Amino acid sequence: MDTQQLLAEYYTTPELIPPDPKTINPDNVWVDYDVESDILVIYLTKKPVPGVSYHIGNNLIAITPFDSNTIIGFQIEAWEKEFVPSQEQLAERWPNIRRSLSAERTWSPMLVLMALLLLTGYFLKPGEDEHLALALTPA
Amino acid sequence: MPLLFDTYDPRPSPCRVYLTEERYQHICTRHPELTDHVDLIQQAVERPWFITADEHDDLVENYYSKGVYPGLANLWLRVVVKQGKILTAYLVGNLKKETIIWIRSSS
Repeated sequence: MDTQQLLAEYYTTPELIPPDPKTINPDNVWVDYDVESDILVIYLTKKPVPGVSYHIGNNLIAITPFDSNTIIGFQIEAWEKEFVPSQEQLAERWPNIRRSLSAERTWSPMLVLMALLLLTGYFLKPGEDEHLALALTPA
Repeated sequence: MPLLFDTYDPRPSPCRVYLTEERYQHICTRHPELTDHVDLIQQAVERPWFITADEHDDLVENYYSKGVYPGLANLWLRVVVKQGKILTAYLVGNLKKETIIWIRSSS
């Protein structure tokens, strides 16, 4: 099998289990924005834990533990360059949130609040029977 | 800024790739599975399976190496590099459809 054939097997995303927003504890939300890579990282586990990342959308990456398909975090690539401008309300508020951060201080209470709103209003949307599905595309 | 390694990738015209202490701390904080694995990151840029052009930033290239992580043969290590500087790295279980700009001739 040549490398191109091998790669083809890895372009699919396995079935991942989204976290239930009703069980998200705000005290366990760890969030960090890195200016240099322009990546926002969110963990629902109080602090980052070892895991695997899966590309699930244009800018969106889900993180799972090694031994489970349950999502425990997200990474959003091109955060300032593409994601923030694509979300009108977020784009309005981001400059204020951004001012609460610095190279040394890559999180703030405002950033955590934003992450919570993002999780419940964008990534995890209520379904018809109150089951929650991962939103792969913007609303 | 102290460098943890300063090396070259395997392309016909090799490109310099380096990892700073600050970026390694960044990687370990956000992706603790790579703590104590500087060697894997170096291996991924010196002997990648393939290199892609980043879809978000023309100056960024992504290096991929498979099966380097102990006990997890099906995972890839993705190393994000901007003009030679490693920005971040993490393990991925699937691949993004990006433009491949270099691929190793044999696996």
